[in-house]
Parts: sequence; C-alpha cells; structure tokens
Amino acid sequence: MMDPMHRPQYRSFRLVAAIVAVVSLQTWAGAGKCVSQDLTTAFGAFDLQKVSEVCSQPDDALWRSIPWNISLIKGQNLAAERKQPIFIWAMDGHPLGCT
Amino acid sequence: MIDRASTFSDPDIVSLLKKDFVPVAIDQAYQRRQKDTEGDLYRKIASQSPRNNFQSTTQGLYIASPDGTLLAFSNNRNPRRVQAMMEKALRDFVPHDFQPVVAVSRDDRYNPEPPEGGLVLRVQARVLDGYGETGDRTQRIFQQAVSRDNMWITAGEHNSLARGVVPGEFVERMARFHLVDNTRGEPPMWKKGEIRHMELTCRDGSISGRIELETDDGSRGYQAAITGNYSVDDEKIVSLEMAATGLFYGEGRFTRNAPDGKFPLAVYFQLADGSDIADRIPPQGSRGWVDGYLNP
Repeated sequence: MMDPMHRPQYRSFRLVAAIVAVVSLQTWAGAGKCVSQDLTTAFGAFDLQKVSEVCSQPDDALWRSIPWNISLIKGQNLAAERKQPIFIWAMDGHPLGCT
Repeated sequence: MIDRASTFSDPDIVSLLKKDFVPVAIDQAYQRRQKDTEGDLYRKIASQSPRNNFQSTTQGLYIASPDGTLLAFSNNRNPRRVQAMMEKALRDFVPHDFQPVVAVSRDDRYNPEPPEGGLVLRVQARVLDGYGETGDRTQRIFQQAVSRDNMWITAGEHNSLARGVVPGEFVERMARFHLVDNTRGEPPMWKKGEIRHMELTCRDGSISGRIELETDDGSRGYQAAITGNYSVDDEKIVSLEMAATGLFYGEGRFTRNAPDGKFPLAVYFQLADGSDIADRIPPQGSRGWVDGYLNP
C-alpha cells in the first residue's frame, strides 16, 4: 500500500468535500433534476461493468472503421502502391488519442 | 474528439476515405519538428499550403499525391466542405507510377515507443451527468463524448504490480496525467503539488484506492475512488481493468463549457491488446517530455 499523504489540512478538506457531495446529490434530487442511475452508481456500490459500458466507444462507430495509418511514410508507401492520394489528418495532439 | 464524432462519422466522407484515399492521422506538433525522412516528407507537403510556418501549428487536413505534391488543404472540418475538397482532389489527381519513400533516418525524440516489458492501458473518460440542455449539435457531441488516451506502465512497475506491490510512480502518473477531464479538448494535467491524497492497493486480484486532486486556488479538482481487478499468469499481468469515479470540478483553457459546479466523471482503464491502432499512440501527458511522464 502507498503511503498516503495524510496532511491535517486535507482531512478537513475531505470532510468538506464529502459533505458537499452529499448536499449536491440531495439538492439535485430535491430540485427535480434527474439524478441518473449513472450518478447513483458512481457513489454507491461500484459497478465496474457499468463504468466500462458508459466509457466505451462503440465498435461500430463509423470513424473507427476508417483504416487509419499513423505513419506518414507507411501511408505514402501504401499510396504509391495503390496509386491513390494520401489524406492527412494533422492535429495538435494525436487525432486518434489525446482527447 | 469533435472531428471523430462529426467529420469522420459522416458516411460519405468515410466511404471516400476507405475507397479512394490512404488515410493518415498524425500529431503535427511532432511531424513538423522531426528531423528525419518522415518530417521532411510532412514539411514538403505542408509547405505548399498556407500553413507553411513550421514554428507554429500546421494543424489541418491535407491531401497529397504520393510524390508529395499538395492537392488540397483545409482547416475547416465542416463535413460538406471536406467532402468537396476530397472530390476536387480526386479530380485533380493523376495516377501514375510513384516511388515509395524509403526512411533513411528516424528522429527518436518524436517517435516514442511504449516501455519494453511494460504495459499499455487504454484510458477512456466520460462526464456522467451535470450538463444543461443544449440545442447545439457541437455541444451535444462534447457532452456525450468519450475520450481516448493511453497510459504507459514501465517494466519495473509491471513486475511490481504482478506481485501485488503498487509503485508510487505508477499511482502518481495515473493521477497527474490520466485523472483528467479530456472530454472537450486537451486538458490541463495536474502538478505534483496538486495531489492532495493518493492511495492504491492491489491484493488478490482486486484494486482499490482513493485519489484527491485540487489546484492551489481551488478552481479545479477531482476526488475519485478507484476500483478494479487484475489477473496474473506466469508473473505477467494478463488482464486489468480499473475505474475512477468521483466528483470533478473546473475546466481548462481548451476544455471550456464544463458543467457548473461539481459533476461526476468516470475514467476507465483497460489493458490494451494492440488490436486498436490507437493503442500505439503515445500518452498525451508524454508529449515532448517522455522522461517526465515516466518519472513523474
């Protein structure tokens, strides 16, 4: 087990955070705003399966069906072989990851 | 994220890309700086576009002939404009014999590889609730977005984890670079001093812990409980999944329009099996500083 960073000021911070979380949940529920099952799950019994489902990108997402190359050289070689143009998606941060 | 869910989810563009083009996705911040064959090819193509100053971003969509001749460029990702650009490029393209470029040099600074003997975890985050109603399509995409990043684990950490010992560097890397809200853009990472509490245990195939993060001014924070499981075979981790869930608050310069106040954020980690091309993308937190990422 890691050595937790037990600083006295953070004990009170955690207590306040816990109170705020409970009050927030009650406020949302009381205001009639939908407290979703996801939110309940997040703070109730952990359901790893549920988290994996909501955080997964569907395999059939169209952008995932595109045969992206992540090497420009390999892409060029393939384009030369197929006699096709290269389409380059160049971003700040990698387009397939990062965000 | 927005491009993946809009431009590259457009059926006509996807069809064109699969049938008539060789699609390449790159981080231009690396490519424009690379002092090697690949960087030379990228700069040759980009220098023919308006984005020909390699001291600043060259972000955009480029279409080039295999000999490096630029056929089209746009930094507008409206699907109809992109489709028109692709169709014009196809009309202008003259197929003939092209020589494959042979890589004679490789700039390792911009081609980081996952640590040998280590592991790669897929990391996907999602805001679970808290957004207001919106009629704006772009905002809707952001509100439903699932982000994608990778976490690298070193060989030494892999060995420790397989023995049920959690290395501090592993937890700190996870906290600082992966417990982030990157669902609306590039997020600010956490500084070392912004870790307020971290504990993580691995025992008998179960993972549990708690991590608390907050900026000094209190404008951004995340208190997450961690749970998960893993299995070991022949002293190697062969499966691992882990979830961080808790309340997040605040936003970064490139992640505006977060829900007001505290909102639930889930971050899911799963052992990558290499079946997804994105498994090979270096972690966002390692950009430009792999050593700093691996030794937080």
